[in-house]
Amino acid sequence: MPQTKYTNEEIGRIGTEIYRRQIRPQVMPQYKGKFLILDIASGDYEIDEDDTSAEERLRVRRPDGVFFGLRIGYTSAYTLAGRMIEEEP
Amino acid sequence: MIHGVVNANLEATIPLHVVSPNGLRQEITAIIDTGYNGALSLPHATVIALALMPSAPRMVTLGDASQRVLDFYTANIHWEGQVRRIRVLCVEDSPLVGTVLLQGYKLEVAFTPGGAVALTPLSSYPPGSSP
Repeated sequence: MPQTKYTNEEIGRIGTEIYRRQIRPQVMPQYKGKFLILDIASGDYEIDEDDTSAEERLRVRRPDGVFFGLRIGYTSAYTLAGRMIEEEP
Repeated sequence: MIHGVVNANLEATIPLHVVSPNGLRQEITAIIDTGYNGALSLPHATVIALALMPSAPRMVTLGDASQRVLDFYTANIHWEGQVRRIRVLCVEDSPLVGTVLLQGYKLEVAFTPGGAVALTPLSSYPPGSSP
């Protein structure tokens, strides 16, 4: 992961915006539950059941990208709360 | 099979060996947390000590159901004689083992201080007896 000028909050805000505006209409509902790794600089992304594989594939293509991870159809990639929360339509 | 122990706080724990990209190795005691659906979490001090490689930050739902973008790292762990490459969530807490590492195992816990914790691969069970 390259050094980035963005804070995690900025990465999350920009990444979520790109996902909602450009990506979600193309990937929901068919990829619901899969991991999505997004390069917030280019808008390029990878989807996989395994988020490690998704990230490694995208890193090959975007070595200097600023990445953000989420899970399609849910409000987060992971939970510490014992349950995943579905995103609002 | 992986063996652990229930500690005085009634937390089911297992020992884990975490290995950094440059071969540094540290044994940690991790609490099994079935409310965490990732692989492993480690506190910042351990991440720094092992010089783990940063990974993409990811959105995480916290215990109070709020969401935050948190740092993740890449680490290798020794798991039943094999090296597994996993994503590690960095949070200031005791190390947690989540359900990604429990997948494919039967978890048995004797919930009393000093009680036995056992993770048994489901494939080792006779056909038809696996849950």
